[in-house]
Amino acid sequence: MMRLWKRGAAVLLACLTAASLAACGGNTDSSGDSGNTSGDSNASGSESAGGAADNGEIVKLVVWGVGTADTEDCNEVAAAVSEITREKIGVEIELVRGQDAEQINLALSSGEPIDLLNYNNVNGQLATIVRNSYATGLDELVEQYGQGALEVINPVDLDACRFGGVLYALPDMKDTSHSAGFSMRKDIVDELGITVPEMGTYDDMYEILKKVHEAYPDMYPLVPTWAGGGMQESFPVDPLGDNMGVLENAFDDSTEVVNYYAMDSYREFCEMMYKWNQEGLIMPDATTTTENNLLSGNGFAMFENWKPGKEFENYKSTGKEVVFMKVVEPYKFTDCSNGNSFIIPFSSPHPEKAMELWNLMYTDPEVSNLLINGIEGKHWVYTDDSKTTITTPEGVDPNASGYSSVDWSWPNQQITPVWEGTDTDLWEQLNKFNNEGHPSPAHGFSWDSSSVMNQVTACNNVISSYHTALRWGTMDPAENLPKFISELEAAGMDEIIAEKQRQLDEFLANKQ
Amino acid sequence: MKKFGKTMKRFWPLYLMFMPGVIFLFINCYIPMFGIQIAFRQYNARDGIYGSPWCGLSNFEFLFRTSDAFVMIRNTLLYNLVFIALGTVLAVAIAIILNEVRNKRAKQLYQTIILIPYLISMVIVSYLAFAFLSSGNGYINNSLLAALGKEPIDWYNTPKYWPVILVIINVWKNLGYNMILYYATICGIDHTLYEAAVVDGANRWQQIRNVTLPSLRSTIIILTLMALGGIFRSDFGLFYQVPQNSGPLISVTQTIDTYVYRGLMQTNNIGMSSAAGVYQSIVGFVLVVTANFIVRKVDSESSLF
Amino acid sequence: MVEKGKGFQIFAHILFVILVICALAPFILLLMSSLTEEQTLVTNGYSFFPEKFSTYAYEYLMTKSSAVIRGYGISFLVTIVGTLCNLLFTTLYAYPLSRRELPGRNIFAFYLFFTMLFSGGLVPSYLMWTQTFHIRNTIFALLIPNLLMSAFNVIMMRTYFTSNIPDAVVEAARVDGASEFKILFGIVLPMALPIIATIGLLVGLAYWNDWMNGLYYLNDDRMFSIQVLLMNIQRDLDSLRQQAQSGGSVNTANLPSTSVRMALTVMGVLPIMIVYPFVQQYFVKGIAIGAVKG
Repeated sequence: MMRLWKRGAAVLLACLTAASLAACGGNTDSSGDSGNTSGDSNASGSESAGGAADNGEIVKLVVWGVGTADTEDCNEVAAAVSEITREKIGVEIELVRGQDAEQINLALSSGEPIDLLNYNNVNGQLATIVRNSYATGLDELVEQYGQGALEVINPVDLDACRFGGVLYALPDMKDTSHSAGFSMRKDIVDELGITVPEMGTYDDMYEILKKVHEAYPDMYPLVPTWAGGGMQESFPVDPLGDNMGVLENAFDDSTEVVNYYAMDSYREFCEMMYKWNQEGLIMPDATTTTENNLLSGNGFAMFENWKPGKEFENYKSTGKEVVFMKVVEPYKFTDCSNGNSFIIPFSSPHPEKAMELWNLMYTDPEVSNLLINGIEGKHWVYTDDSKTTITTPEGVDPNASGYSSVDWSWPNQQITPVWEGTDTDLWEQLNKFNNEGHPSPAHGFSWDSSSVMNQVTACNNVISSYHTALRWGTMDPAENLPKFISELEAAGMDEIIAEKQRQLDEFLANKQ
Repeated sequence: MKKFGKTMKRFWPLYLMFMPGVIFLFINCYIPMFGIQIAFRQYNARDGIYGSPWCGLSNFEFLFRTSDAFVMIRNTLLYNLVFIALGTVLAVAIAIILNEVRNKRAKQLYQTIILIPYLISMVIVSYLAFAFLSSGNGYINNSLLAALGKEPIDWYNTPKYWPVILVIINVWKNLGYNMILYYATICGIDHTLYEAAVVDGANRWQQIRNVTLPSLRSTIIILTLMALGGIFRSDFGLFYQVPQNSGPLISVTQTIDTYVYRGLMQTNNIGMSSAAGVYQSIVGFVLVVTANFIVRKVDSESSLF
Repeated sequence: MVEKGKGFQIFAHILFVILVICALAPFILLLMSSLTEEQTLVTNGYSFFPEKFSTYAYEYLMTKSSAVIRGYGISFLVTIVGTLCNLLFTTLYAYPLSRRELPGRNIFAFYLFFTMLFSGGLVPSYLMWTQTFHIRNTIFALLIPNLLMSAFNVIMMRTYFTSNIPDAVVEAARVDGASEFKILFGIVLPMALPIIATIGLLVGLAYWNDWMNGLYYLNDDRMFSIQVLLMNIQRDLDSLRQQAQSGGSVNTANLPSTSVRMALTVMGVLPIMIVYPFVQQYFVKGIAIGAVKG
């Protein structure tokens, strides 16, 4: 027995070694290749930095996008895009996707030559980017090379990308309004004959959850949106950058900055959640669970933002059909309008060319489609000759394609075909949703926290101690909320609010 | 000068042996140390490390501003002291006992298996801990406490248990690794020493006390000295991921590293985070140099430098 | 040694069986949850005896089988080459440190130790490695930064040399006219096999388990070692949180499920458990030789 085991292990070891040798052989080649390409891009970078870019020379631009994709697939897409851009603007691209916050921060703070970068994964989004001066000011560039982009971008959203009057980003053509609510499993809703209003209140939700809890006592009626107590913001505040000091109601005209955690609506929400939790309507461990896809398991509903086509997106990812009930009408605030978009990093050797490419990404359907959906026939195929909808090619596992389609993370998804299963007029719906959003009175205001950085750091720590537990109802607000507020004050919340109010007043005065 | 020449003539091969390491350390560690100045600058990427304006000690301020400073220093220090003391005692004891096991195959098996926890990353450890502690499906609540007829405990909202839990997890994870270091030293002990002890009529316990432990002394002292250098640092995974970042536990799980992470996650302020690093280094440095000075007085061969 | 103490042997075995259970039980739990159907996992939590088995997690990973095999290959290569280089560097630095009569050795000891305490942080290191040494997307990225030599190991080895290798042995060899290199490789090293084997093991583990270098210095997934690959599959959660933070609507689509994460860990740990006994055999042999010579 022992010998058999030994021999088996020896064979396995031999196989592994052989595999490793084979792989290493292949590997040295590929490392040589990639070494060359990066070398090339560097070389061309230094050569043409001195304005040689306009001499008809081909310039190589580095684009960092969001979402998982294999390097080989990225290279293939980059080659296909380069085919087009070489002709049109004298540019070739190198595409890198899926870098996380740490990698992006490292690359940006050490001045790596990147020409277009999506900042979705950066903590603190555009505000952090600008405060660390990672981004190039765009006003002149966009004037000169970005007219096509300006034509399609909603000017309201564009204003949200200005910091101190300087334009640092262009908003992606994604959802730029914010509408909060709940998503619920359709099978359960149908089975219990619940009518879900399109627009509802927390009281409606309470009734629904109670019904579900009675009918299915083993089910968790309300679950977090992602692991560790993930929850989408669910009342109509304008967070003004960081949720410390907010406008309580974005639909209101008041521009008074208040402490988010001392608002009446926050207290009422915490009390409501505490009550729901006591009644067993919330999953136990909601704040600590390690699971992400809870609706596909034992959960019934979760907090989720809505946008046109969201139901289908959920279906695609979880295999469960969902029904939405919105509790907040769509509205617009700075962080939503300027979220998840691109910048030209300060370290870009060719900002003009980058702007030209960016402009093309807004205006050229072919370029946009390649970047968003990948190669026709490999990553997607048209469903019919009308060329309006696409689907996964036969034999390709939609969850394991080498090039994931994250449409909202690219400049213009609205000039690409939609995926089968969504409404063909999805983009009109999306535009309508974006235009309908009620702009917060502070829309376009950007918060610069650098003068109160110490207070922000201390407050962030206080918030970690209470916020998640309070809003999931695992802490009794009657006892803990006052403690929370007084600790925030000790940490300097009032100074943050005063500074924010000052900046906001200044912004509003300039606006008029 | 003549003396120098003589020294070189006698010892140059030994100095030559240092060279690969000296060069590597210079490149890998000493060149990047120019970045320590970030801690004293208001860093922004465009101006770079040299161009950003100086800002004195203002980056350090956030570490001392509020009453959190006391909590995080207390936690970091106490946990580390317990880890060092308990870790050393257990690892030495287990290594000695392992060495006494006569069955070779069993010895090998034990050694392999005890190392497994060290190989599992902290994120996964946090899932496993959750499997035991969660209030919905956790083993301890569902099986253990239920069987004993006790009320379930809401582990992730009850701070008082966590100092014990964190110590247990730390010991569990690192025991195998620490033990191996001591075990290697024990294996290297000259067997004639034991034989001599047996001739003198020493029993097993006396052998351990008079031969094994004295041989381990240097290793114990050195490992402790090195651990002292990290006394202001902490295993981020253990203190952040294992408690699932649960708010109510922060009073007992907050360390300097988690404080810095929680505070700066949103703002990505490099100046402030490197200030925290410098602070941790300096405290560790002072502590080690002092301890080393004392050790050198007592037993010069066990000192670090 | 003395042929008595049966009671002690029994005590030792009982103790170790307890330790083995403590170490193994969570690992078995891990293995089981990687084989549990996702639905069951979400509903019932982790279990040693899952209601429904499923090999979905492994099937999912097999869709990336070529990357996994390549990852294993790179990991093995890096671990073997890295460990050998590291041992050479470590030994060469540790041995002269252990020579009492060497003038100035404390300076070298301090030079070494200082690097354990102070570091310039990630940004300057990254700047240097990528812009001066151009190691991005090369195999050197997995081999060199931070891993090639660690002060901790050097100090451990030096301590072993000073406490286990008698000065008289070295002195005698020197009197016989052996060169310093010959003394080191011919006399000292054979006596130091237990520590070499141990440090080799620790270094091997460090190389095998490292994903930081891959995360920082690689963005070509064809260079990913197995741990970098596993890490890459695991860490998609962040981007989701960011989107949520900016008020956008979140899509949980591509997050790896729990069973997949568990399977990833199993795949990272398993090869070590297979290879370790072989390494250990060598280790035991080395110890025996060391003991005889001593």
